[in-house]
Amino acid sequence: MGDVAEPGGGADPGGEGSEGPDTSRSAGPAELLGEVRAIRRRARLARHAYWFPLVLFGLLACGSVPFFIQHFPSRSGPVAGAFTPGPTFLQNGYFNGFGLVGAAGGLPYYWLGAILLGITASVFWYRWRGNRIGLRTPARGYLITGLVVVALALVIPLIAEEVPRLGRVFVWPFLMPGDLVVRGTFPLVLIGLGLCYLAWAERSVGLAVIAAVYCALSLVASLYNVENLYYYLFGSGISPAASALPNVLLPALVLLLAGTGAWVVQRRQRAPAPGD
Amino acid sequence: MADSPTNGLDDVVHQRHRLGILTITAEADKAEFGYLREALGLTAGNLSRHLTVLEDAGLVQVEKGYKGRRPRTWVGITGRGRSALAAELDVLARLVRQGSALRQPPEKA
Repeated sequence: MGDVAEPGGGADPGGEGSEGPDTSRSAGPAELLGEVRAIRRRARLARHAYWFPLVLFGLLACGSVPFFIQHFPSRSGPVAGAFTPGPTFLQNGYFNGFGLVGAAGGLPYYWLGAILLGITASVFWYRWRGNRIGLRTPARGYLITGLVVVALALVIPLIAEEVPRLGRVFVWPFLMPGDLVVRGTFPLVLIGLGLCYLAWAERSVGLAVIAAVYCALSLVASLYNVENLYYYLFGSGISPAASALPNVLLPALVLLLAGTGAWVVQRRQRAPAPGD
Repeated sequence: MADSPTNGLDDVVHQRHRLGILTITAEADKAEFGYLREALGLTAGNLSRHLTVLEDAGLVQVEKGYKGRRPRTWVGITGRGRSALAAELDVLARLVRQGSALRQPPEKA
């Protein structure tokens, strides 16, 4: 088999081919290990590009705001939860919660579309950037993980809906933990799971820390009325129409801030791409 | 010295530049020829020869393609390559530990 020649690569001017002087023979094991660590660190730094998915998912989370604005009638009267046409597992599933009172319908479709868009755009981003710098991140795993998580989020409520009919009511709370999904912000947790995978794929401690903080916040946003924190901090409440917004905006703000910070840092650290 | 760590060294992998190629490709899905050349400070000819040695040993896979009209060569590590790299790093770490132990002054009775 022939040499792996890069077209236009030319001859070997230095004469230091694979059968030439073996420089490693003179390098001690400690020195070699040090070089390996330095090369690995440079490759990881060059590969880090997580600012994009952070900013993108931050913007997509902000885009859900219209679905969390509640319109209460001025006179007392019945106020219904947000109605979304479609199958029950979407209406009462992980993507919709249990229907926010007085809010517009369609939240599950927004979350579903936003998450699929975010995953697809992130995969294309990593592919494009990998081609540009000459070092590809394994984004296929992220795509598969993201799609599996979305599929599970769609299927589990469906199973939860059927299980009580099978006479196994005790499984219900585990499949549909109401406290966690009632507010319709559980998709923020799903985004966090994707970020955890990306942190592993990028071998990035920075992203792992961001993902951990974000996951904790998105769990808080799913389990607690963040509006209460606002009241404790500032001594006044938020308009009833906007009372659900802090639950979405707090995790979204974290994503946007972390993404912007990562963009600044990665821009400074970025090694010049071949051919730049 | 049947159990000397040096017995575990693989001549194909135990070479500074080839170790560098395996390290970079183990970090990424694929590494481009130009990136490897710049990261390791090699000429195209040198890198090409090292890649041939690694490919012949089944440690890397080389794919040739085009970006527009520009040819691009992508290098990916194989499962065997990952195992060989891990084994090499393990041997090097053992050698470093052994060297540190030998440099320790003997304990006084």
